[in-house]
Amino acid sequence: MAAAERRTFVGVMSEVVATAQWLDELAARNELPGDAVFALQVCAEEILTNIVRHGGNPGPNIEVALNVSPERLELTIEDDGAPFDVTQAEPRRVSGDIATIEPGGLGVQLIHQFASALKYTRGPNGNRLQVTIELDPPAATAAARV
Amino acid sequence: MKVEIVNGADGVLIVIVAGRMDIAGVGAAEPSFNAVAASRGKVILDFSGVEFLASLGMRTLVMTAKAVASKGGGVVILNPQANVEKALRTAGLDSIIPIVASREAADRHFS
Repeated sequence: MAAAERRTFVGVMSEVVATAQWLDELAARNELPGDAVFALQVCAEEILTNIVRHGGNPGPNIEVALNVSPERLELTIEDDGAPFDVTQAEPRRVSGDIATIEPGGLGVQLIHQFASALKYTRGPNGNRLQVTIELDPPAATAAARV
Repeated sequence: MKVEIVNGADGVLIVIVAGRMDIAGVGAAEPSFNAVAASRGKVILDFSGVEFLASLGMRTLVMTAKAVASKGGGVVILNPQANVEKALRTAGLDSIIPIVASREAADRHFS
């Protein structure tokens, strides 16, 4: 893939679902390995769901771009909603007594685990988050054939 | 995604889950998990066919396990795929919903 593929939409949950399907299609076209696709989809679902839920009402404008190279995937998500820097957010894990556990808030932990690197900037147009997912050598070979 | 609920031996409820527990999948499976949440006994979630799980699906699992535990029952997850298991352990869900590799291990957990 020479240039990044892009998708622009208004932040509603049905568009998060559509974006997951779009990413699956790109992954199939580029013969991406399952582990990388899993990591990509986890990060995309967590980040986009967070923007839709907390980015503001009406939903922010969102642009998702995916760049595939032989070495890595770069997922860039930009939105004009409320500021949120996931790189500085406190990861949360489930712990303690099941009777008192409150579900939710686990997404930051998952993003930090499945992304190889995260880079956040806040500019005049809003949030910009770049998620890097490194590909291992066999997958890099497959991506290079495209 | 698909959820099949089977009444096993010794009162164990076996819940065979398959597909993607993503936003669309969780929405479709919610009635089935609500039925499981009403259980008072031992529940085995057979996760061998689950291909995707993130925090939204984990919320459903926590709510289900809490509901079953509040009535004296228990839930285990059987044989998740590697990436799903990694996600479960990353989020710490295995601390409240044990992950087991076999039906025998599930039986030992409940015994």
